Amino acid sequence: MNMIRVHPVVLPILPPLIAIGSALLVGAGLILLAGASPITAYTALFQESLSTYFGFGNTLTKMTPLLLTSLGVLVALRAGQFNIGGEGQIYLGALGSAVVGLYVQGIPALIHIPLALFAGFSFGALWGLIPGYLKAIRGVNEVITTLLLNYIAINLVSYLVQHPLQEPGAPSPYSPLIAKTAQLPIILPGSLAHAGILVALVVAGLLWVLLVRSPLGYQISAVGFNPIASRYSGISVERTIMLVMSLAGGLAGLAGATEVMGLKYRLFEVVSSGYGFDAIAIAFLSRGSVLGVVLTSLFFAALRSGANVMQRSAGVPITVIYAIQGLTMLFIAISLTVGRHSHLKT
Amino acid sequence: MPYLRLEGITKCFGSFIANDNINLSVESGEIHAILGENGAGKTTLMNIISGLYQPDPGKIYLQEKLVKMRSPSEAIKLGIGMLHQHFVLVPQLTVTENIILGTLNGLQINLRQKHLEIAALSQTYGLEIEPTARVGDLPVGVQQRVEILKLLYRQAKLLILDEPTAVLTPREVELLINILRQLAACGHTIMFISHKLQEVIKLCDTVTVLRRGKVVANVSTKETTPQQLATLMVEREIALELHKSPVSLGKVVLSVQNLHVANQQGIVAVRDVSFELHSGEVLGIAGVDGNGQRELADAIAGLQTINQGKIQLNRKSLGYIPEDRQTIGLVLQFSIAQNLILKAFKKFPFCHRFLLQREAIRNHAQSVIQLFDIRAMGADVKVSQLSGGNQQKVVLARELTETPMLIVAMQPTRGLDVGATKAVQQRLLAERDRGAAIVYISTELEEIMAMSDRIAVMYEGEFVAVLDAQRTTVEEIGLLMGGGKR
Amino acid sequence: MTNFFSDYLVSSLRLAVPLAFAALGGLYSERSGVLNIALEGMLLTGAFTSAVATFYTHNVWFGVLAAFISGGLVGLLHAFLSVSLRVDQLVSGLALNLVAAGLTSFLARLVFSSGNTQRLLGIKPIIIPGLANLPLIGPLLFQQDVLVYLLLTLIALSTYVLFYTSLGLTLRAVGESPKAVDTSGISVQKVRYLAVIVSGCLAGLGGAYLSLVQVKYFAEGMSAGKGFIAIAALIFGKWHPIASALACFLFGSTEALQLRIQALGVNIPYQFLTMLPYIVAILALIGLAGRSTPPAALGVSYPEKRA
Repeated sequence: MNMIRVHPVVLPILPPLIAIGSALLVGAGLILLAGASPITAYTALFQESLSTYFGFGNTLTKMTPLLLTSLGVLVALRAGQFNIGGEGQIYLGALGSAVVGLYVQGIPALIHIPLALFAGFSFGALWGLIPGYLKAIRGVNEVITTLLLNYIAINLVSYLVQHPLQEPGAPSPYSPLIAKTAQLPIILPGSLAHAGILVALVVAGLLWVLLVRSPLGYQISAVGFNPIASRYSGISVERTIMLVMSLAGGLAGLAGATEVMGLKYRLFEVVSSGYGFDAIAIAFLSRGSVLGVVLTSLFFAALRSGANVMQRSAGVPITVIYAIQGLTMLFIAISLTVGRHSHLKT
Repeated sequence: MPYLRLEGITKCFGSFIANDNINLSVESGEIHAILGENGAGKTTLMNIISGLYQPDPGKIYLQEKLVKMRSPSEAIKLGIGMLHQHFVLVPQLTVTENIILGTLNGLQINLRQKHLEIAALSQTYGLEIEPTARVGDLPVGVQQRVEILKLLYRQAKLLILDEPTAVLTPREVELLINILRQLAACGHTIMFISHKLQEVIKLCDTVTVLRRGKVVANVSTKETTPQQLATLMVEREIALELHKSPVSLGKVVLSVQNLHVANQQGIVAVRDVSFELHSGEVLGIAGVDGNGQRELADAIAGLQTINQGKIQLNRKSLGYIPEDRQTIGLVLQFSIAQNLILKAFKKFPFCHRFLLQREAIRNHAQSVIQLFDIRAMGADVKVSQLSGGNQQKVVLARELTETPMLIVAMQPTRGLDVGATKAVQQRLLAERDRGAAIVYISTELEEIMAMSDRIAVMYEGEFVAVLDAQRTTVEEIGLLMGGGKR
Repeated sequence: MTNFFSDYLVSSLRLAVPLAFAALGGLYSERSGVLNIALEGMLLTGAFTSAVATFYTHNVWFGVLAAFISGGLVGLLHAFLSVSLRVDQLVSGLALNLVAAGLTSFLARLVFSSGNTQRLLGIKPIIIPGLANLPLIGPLLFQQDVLVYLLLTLIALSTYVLFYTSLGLTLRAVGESPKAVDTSGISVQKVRYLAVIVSGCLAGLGGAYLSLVQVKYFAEGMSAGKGFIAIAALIFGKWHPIASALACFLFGSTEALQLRIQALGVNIPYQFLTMLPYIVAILALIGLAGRSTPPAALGVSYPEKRA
C-alpha cells in the first residue's frame, strides 16, 4: 500500500477543500447544462461577491445569519444532537426582535438594540428548548421534531404578518417599520453591510471560549462523546441536552433578529431562504472548529451574494447555487469517511 | 484418525503474532480444551478453525482431508460450528426463528412445521427448550441451549465453545457438562476454550495450553493438576495468594435498610436488602451476572431511584468503579488528563473564574500517572490508545484520588490479564488498609474469596446469605449462587 | 352530510397516499437498520422525474417508471454512503435531501421555463364495477387510480412478507441483530442495500402520485415535509405496514381538514390549518415516545466503527 505524505497542517483542511472543489466542478457541469460558460459564471460570482465594495458588503450581510445559525448547529453537534430546526428558529427570532422593535418605543438605541437582540435570542431559544426537552426527557428523536417545528414556525409567522402585525394598507403582507432605535447601523456606508456581522463575529469568539476553554464546553463534549460515562460521573445529560438545544435555537434566533434589525427593518413572511439548512452543511464542513465555521459561512455567503450577478451577467439561474450547496453537503458526507478509507498519512 | 488436525497455523495482525506455528490434533468424540490467558491467541485460533479468519501459512485437515475455508458459512457446510461467548441471537425473535435464520431457500416458512422439527431435534439431544418462546425472555442458560441447537440444526460435527461457562450458574454449568458429554458420546467432537482450570480438568479429556500464540503443552487432563496448568499458562510463579492484613473495623460508612430497587424496565431487581458496612472492611457480593448486583451498585451510587427502603452514606466521599471501563468508565475520545477530571471539572483548582485551568489539570495528571504507574506516552494521550489494564488504572486513579470513604467496585478486573488484575486487587486492598469501606462485586468466586472480609451472596435480588470469608468454602458459595439452600 | 363525509374520506385517502408510499419505503429501510431521513428527497425526486418524463413523452406510465427508477437510484446512493462507506446515516439522509432539493429546483427551471409546469397528463381513476357503488367505501376504495390500488396491495403484501416469509425474517433479523445474521452466513450489506433501494423506489412512486395525480404539475419543494411526516407515521405505527399506513391516513385527514373547514364557513386563518398535520405529528410522537421501540440496530453501521 502506498502512503501519500501530506503536511500535517494541510491534512484536516484537505477533505473539505476536496468536497467544495468537487461540488464546484459538478456545478460547472450544471452551468454548462444551462447553456452558459462556467468560467464566466464563476468569475462573475466570486468577483462580485468578494472584490467589489457593494458586493462584499452583500456577502457580509448574508454571512451574518449563516454564521450565527451554523454556530448553533455546531454547539448542538458537540453534544451529539442534530439541530435541523435552524430555519424555524430563525423565524421565531425574527418575530421576537420585531415585536420588541415595534411595540417598545421611546428608549435609546443603546438599550433598544440589545433588548431586541435578546428577544430574538429568547424566542429562538424557546423553539430549540421544545425539541431539546422532548429529546432529553421524553426520548423523542430531535431530528424529526426540529424538522416539523420548522413548518409550524413558518406558518405562525406568516399568519402574524398577515393579520395582527400587518402594516395597514400594505400591498403585500409585511409589518410596519421597526423603531429607528432598534435598527442596526450600517458599517460600510453605501452598502447593505450592517453591524450584525460584528455581533456574529463577537458571538463566534465567545462561543469558541465557551466550547474550548470553559467547563461547560468540557461537559458538552463529554456528553457528546459518551453520555453514559458522563451520567456515571455526575453530569446531568438531560440538562446538557436541553441547554445545548436552547443555545442552538437562541443563536439561530439571533440570526433572525439581525436580519430584521439590520437588513429588512420589517418582518416579512419570508425571513430566511434556507439559511437553516445551509447551516447544517457549514457545521459539518467545518469539522467542529469555530474558525472553520467562520470561513465556510463566508464562502457560502459569497456564493449566495454573487448569485444574482451571476444570473444577470452569465444567464445562469440562481438555483444552481442551491444545487452546489446540496452537492457540497453530499461530498462532505463522503469526505468524512476519507480518514478511514484513505491512504493519506502525515 | 484424528477428526481435526492443525498443521503450522500462524496468524499475524500487522506486526502482532497472534498464533505462532500451532500444531494440534483432536479425535472424534473427544472433549478438548484450549487453555490460556487473555491475549494468548485462543480466540484467534478458534476463529481460524471456524472460518472467520484464514491462516497466513498453515493447513487444516478434517478427517485427514485438507480443507480451506474462506468464510464462516463454508465452515458451517463442512460441519464446524462455533458457539461464541457473547451470543449472537436475535432477542426479538422466537427460538425457532433464530434457529432457522439463514438456512431457508424457499420464500415461505411453514412455522408450525418448523416448530415441530425443532422440538424433535431438542428431544434427540436432551436439550429442553420451548420453540415458540421469545429468545429475549429466556434465561441465559436456556439461550445457550438455543445456540447449541443452532449448530446441531446445521449438522455441525465439530463444536467449538468459547468460554461457555462464563455466564452460567453452577447448576447450569453441570447441565451443560452433561449435554456436552452426551454430544461427545454421540460422536460429536468438542473444543472448549477456557481460562478456568478446575472446569477444564473436570470436563475435558485433553488440553492444549497456549501462551503468547504458541503451544506450550498438550496433555491428557488425567495427567496434570491445576497448579501445573497455571504455571504453564503464565510461565512464572504467580502468587495466586493475595497479601491481606487482618480486618480492623471502624465506624459504619454505609447503611442499607430494606432496599427495593427496580431496573430500567421496571422489574424489581433488588429485593429487601439490608446490610451495614464499616470502614476498613471489604464486603464481597458474589452472584451470577444479572441477579441485581448492577442495580444495587447504581442505587448506592445514587444513579438509580429507589422504590423502598433507605441508603445512608456520604455520597460526596464515594468512588465508583464501573464494570465496563470503555462504555461506562471512560470517555474514550478524551485524553488521560481529561478523563481524570471527569468528576471534578467544575471545581477548583481545575476550574477558576469560569475557565478551565490547563496548568492545574496537566500537573494533576502527571502526578497521578506516576502514582498509579499508568503506562502511557503522556497525559495528552487519548485513553482509547491505552491497554485494558492501563485504562482501568485511569478509572481507579480518578475514583481514588480524593480518598473516598466508600468504594463500589463492579467487576473491576474483568478482561484484565493476571498482572493487571493483581495490581488492581492490591490497590483496593491498600485502600481498605487506609480505612476505606469497599463493596466488591464479582462473578469470579476465587477472587471474591481472596478479597473479601465478608461475603454476601446475591440471588434473584436478595441477599440469600452473608458469610464470613474465612469460614466459608467455594462450594458453599457456589451452591448459594445457584439458588441452593444452606 | 354523508356526501360531505364521503368526500372528506376520499380526500384524506388521496392526501395520505404519498405519505404512505414514503412510509412503506421507510419501513423497509428502517427494518433493516438503516435510518432513512432521505424520504423527503426521494419523494421530491420522484415527483420531479415523473413530471419531466411525462412532459416529454406525453405518457404517464413512463413518468411512473421514471419515478420508480430515480427513487431507486437515490436509495442506491444512500445505501452506498451509509452501508459501504459507513457515513453517519443521518448525515447521509440530510445530504441527499439537500441535493435533491437543489437539483430539482435547478433542473425544473431549465426544463419547465417558469419553474412550474403546464398541466400534466394525469392518471385516470379506474372504477371497479359494482363495488364502486357501495356507500362510503365505494368511492373511497373502488374509484381510485392504479397507484392507490398498487399501494393497498403492497401494504398487504409487505405485512405478509415481513412476518411470514424467510425474506422478511432475514430483514427483521438484520435490523435487530446484524451480528446474528452475519454469523449465519447471510450478507448484511446485501440485505441493507436491497432494503434501502426498495425504499427509494417506493418513495419515488409516492412522488409520482404527488405530481401526476394530486396536483398534476411540479412545483419546487412540493414535497413540503411529507417525507418527515412519513417518518413520524412510521414511528407512530411502530414500524408495522398496516399501522403506519393508518397513521398516514390520520395525517392525511388533518391536511384534508384544512380544505374542508373553510368550506364549512369556519373562519380560521389557513396557516393554522396548514400547521395542523405537523402539530399532530409531533403530538403523536410525544404521546408514543418510549413505547415505540425501533429495530434495535437502527442507525448503527455494521460492522461498527471503532472509537
